[in-house]
Amino acid sequence: MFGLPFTTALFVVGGFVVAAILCLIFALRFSADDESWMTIEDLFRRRS
Amino acid sequence: MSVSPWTLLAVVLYMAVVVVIGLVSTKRVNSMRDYLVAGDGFGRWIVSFGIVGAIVSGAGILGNAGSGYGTGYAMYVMTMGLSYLGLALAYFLLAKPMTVIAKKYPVYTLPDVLALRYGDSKAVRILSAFATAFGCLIYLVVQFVAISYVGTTIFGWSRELSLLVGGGIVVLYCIGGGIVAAMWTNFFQLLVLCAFVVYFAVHTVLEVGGLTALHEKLAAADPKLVEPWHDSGAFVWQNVLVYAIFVGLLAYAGVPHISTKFLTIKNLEVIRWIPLISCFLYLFAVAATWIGMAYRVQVEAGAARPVEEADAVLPTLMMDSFGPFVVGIMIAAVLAAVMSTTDSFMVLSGASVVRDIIKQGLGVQLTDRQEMFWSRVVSVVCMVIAGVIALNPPDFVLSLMAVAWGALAAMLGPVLYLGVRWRRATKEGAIASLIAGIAIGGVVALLNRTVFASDPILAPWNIAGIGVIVSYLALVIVSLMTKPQESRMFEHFPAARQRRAVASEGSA
Repeated sequence: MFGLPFTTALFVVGGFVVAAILCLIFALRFSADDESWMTIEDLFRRRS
Repeated sequence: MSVSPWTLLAVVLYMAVVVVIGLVSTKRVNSMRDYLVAGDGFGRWIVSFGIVGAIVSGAGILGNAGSGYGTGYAMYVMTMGLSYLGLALAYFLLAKPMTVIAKKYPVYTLPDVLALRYGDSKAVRILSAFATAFGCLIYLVVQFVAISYVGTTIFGWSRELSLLVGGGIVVLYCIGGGIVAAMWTNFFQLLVLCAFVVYFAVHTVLEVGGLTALHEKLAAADPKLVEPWHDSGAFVWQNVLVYAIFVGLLAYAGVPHISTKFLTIKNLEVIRWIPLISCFLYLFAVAATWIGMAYRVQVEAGAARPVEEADAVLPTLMMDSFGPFVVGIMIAAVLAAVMSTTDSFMVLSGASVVRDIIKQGLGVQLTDRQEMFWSRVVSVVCMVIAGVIALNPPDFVLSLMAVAWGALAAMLGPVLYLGVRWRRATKEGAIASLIAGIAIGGVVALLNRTVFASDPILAPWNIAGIGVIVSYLALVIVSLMTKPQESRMFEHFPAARQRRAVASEGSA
């Protein structure tokens, strides 16, 4: 991409693009009504 | 070197704007809460600009252009490759918890947050305050080195005069207004900086034929310049990847000039868009890398003169390419980058010594007004100490900043990230983590650059990265070995979750 080797492009372009997509998903899913937040324990509780 | 009056006029105009913003902000500051977390807080634009403005330092701008010129992509991959993700991660994990507790408790500093989390532990407070003050001092030195670089390279001033003028302006605009002045001036400074860097980057990249042509010409000059890491030297894969993953990705919780700004968020709704806005602002600001690369291509083609030191690329290019007033605006942009980081560390350094060590740690009684007064005094003292150290600076600006960033990541990142998201983390785990982070990420990393510079410890692995790993491990292992503890940080959870359940039943 842009004349860069694959690994370089992965970090230079990929790093930003992935972050931007995650930020967009975060914005669409974010709940401003709930004052609690997810903890590691909640993750395990949901799985079990 | 003689400086055109037009250049000087542009710089003076910039300085005047930041000083006026700072002085106006002072009127909004009547308490420590105002001074450190801006009272009721800010909206999404001021927070985004404030945070990214504080991240992007003068050393970063000069260093990014210098590394683009000298080492190509290796330095970018190492320091920036995973940094957008790292910044996003900091927002995802910290913005909500920090905003909620800032509204519920009198927490104004990172040690305040950690003390709240870890059972009001004095050891956690003092160790984290020490780590903050230590990191702030290193960072202030780096910023002063950048200020003296601009002063000596462009204005032909002595180092002493450059530091006096640059440091004096920051003290003038920020000492009264604290975080309020820092955030508003950061907004203005980052606007100036982004406009300059984006314009300059597009201009110089187009001059060499566009981005693809730039990379092809760089590779033709030296294939190493477009590789993500080198076969030998400071940018071997171990060094680049360990730093990128363990510092670039996991650092943002550790750098207090960013994490404490989450305490200035007005309300939860403000959080929604700031990660995305910040990612784009960050990209614009660090585009200086491509300016350095384009200059390298021009030098290789014989169209530009080589520079003796890589960090001098930006000042040299500015002087050679533009008229005096534009040069003045560009110098102002570089100064903006320097000052927007310096002001944050100046405020933090005073607060960490006076509030966290002397008042809360050692129990010295101070009224709110006394605390604010002495925080300001200590901030100025820290600026003077940093200025004196910066008179004999290390050679390569960005390398020292990498130490500071990595040190803070190792010292404070694990206790904050895991502290807010892992209820099992204990006070003892936090103390072990802080000690490990300070010892490896701070002390050993610093010794590596000074005493053992010729024969580095653990080369070619990155010490700061190792510090982060050990610090996380210490927190997890010691926490699991000690009894679970309740924390005030999570006291409101049952009520909040009940409200959420009632609301979702109502909507169903």
